[in-house]
Amino acid sequence: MELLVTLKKFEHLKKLSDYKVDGVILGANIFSNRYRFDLDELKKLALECIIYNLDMYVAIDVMIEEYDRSLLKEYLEFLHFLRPKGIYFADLGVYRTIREMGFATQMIYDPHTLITNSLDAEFLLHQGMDGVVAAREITLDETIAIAKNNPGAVDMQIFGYLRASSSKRHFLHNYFEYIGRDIDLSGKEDVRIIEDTRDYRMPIYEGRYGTDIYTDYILCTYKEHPQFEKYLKRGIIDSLFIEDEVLFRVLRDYKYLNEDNAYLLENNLKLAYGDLNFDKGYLYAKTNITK
Amino acid sequence: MNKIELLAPAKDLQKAKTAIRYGADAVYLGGKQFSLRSRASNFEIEDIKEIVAFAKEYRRKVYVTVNIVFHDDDFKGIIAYLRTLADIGVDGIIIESLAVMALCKKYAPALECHISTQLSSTNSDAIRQLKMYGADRVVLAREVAMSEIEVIAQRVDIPLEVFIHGGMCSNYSGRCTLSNRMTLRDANRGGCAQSCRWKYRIYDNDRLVSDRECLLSMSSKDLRATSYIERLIRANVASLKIEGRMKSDYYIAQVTKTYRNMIDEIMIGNGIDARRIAYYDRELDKAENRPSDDGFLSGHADHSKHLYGVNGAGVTHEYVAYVKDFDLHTGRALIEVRNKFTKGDILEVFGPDMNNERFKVEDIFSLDEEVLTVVNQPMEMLWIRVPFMVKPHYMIRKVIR
Repeated sequence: MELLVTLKKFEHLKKLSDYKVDGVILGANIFSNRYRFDLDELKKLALECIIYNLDMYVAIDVMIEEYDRSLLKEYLEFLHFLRPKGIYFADLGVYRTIREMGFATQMIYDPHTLITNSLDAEFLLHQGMDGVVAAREITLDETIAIAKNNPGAVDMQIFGYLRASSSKRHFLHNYFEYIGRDIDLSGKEDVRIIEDTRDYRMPIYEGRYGTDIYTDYILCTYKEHPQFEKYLKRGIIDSLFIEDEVLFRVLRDYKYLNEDNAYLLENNLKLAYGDLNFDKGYLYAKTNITK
Repeated sequence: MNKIELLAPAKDLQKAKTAIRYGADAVYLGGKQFSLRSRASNFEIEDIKEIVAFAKEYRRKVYVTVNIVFHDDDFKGIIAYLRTLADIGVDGIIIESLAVMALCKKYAPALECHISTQLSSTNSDAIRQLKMYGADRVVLAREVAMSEIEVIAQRVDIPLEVFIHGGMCSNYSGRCTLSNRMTLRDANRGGCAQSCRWKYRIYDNDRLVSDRECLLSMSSKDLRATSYIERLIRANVASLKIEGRMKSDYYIAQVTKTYRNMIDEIMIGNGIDARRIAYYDRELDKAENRPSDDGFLSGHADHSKHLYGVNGAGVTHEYVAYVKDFDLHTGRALIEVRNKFTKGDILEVFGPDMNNERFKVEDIFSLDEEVLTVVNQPMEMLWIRVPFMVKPHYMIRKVIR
């Protein structure tokens, strides 16, 4: 399993190369709701990735509007020039456009919620995709089954907050406008919402393309690492909302993580950051289908 | 203008028949397996068979939703199910899973495959890709604006389906697992708890910034596309879809009939003016239970498209009875009661071939000929005198405001 990290800050790149990280996922301030690198920075990052021997993957993680197709094509031509190793995309239109352009790069489908079974993964791979990211809301057994049935082509988020929803609506901006308060929380990473009868403190991020809400917990899967390492193509550590200190502690752990120390390292992490909510997500919690 | 399909939802056999009687060109419904809306009654195969036969009599179509986001275990029995649907004459299936589409093409090729809005198709490139995968129709994401629909329709050569009425997910359909986190109920396999409609406090770092009296809700107003029907027809959209497999018989009848009449008026008159659109809006008010607007059709969804602290719009009419028969000699209708009404109330009757006729309640009789002044037992059978002829399957509502 290759280890990828989503890149939050330019200056992290050099440090990442010191750990056992194979590559980074990054994005621009266009066609991503969460990444904020401008195109010049992207160019520099591409160069730095070569220098630090890190694979560069670009995330295009929003749904594409019809009127943005021309801009998307321009952006993809720009990316073509940067020669990323792969592109994580959420919209089939991105895949179609890249294939029509003849842009040779790995195309990895990450719709977050939809890759929930082996057959859909197999279909998409058979039709030409290079990889898929397993859905976050399925169990460990289901994830492993998808990966086993589609060897060398299935990725998974293995650490970080899980995205729980994605909307084109600007929930925060609209709300404050409605109640008449001059508050702008767009682009801020320290905004949380709590349902009125529950305690879940969920990160909410409002960007150019809408609003994403994340789980109140951080998925932590050290103990499952041996299985992931065996079957996944790439494991993704998502750094969004994670403090630098925690992120680099986790990367250090992954550098040494193996079957023998996984339990110890995971328990130590939880002890070191007792105020953070680490969880197994849906790995052992099968969601049900009745109300 | 090209003929356009009006597609209505059906929770059960009766509602499917109602939708067809009241003007739907096609109905969509869920089987017991593989379908979202787990609270909807959903159809046994025998029921689907019956509604297909009923629809064929009216030359209408039946689509079956096979639109859960499949997990590996969910595929058990899918091939036999698809073959059965094809054998009994179902016209198409609505799917999220491209693997199910591939299985359908192989084992039940008579079925059309319609791509569900759960794939959030927002642009012509994505739609062309889905067509390449084998799709016969694509349901557009509700996030697509009218001006985009017009452009997309010109750029693709596959039928498009557009939602025109009903509930809206506040997030991209199929890409929301809020319900999974809050309740462990799988939003994408029929268990959605609608957590987006709950109330949330907002903290900027640790500072509470939401209003204590009016918390954040992501709840969306319902969709109502009356102002866009003519443009959708002119754009050559193939199908106009009404949402609401959980809705009542009355709602299905009223909404379907309203859009049927509107589409027919546009087709015959080669257009429609604002005064007539306002009339159809008033008709829909008789069935609404949540505030509505034009969603993303007009472009950006600002705060006016949300619901903050509001759950219902308040209906202008209340459904009170279903007509079972009419006695021409006595001028009495045999009715099945749905809600309370009393002598002296103003009631309004409508039916597949009748728009709105009002009358004042004068005489109500039990089946034993007892004279009644108040009716308040749902499903009770009664006689009521009506000053004009009504027919079975007509509906009666009380004018509230």
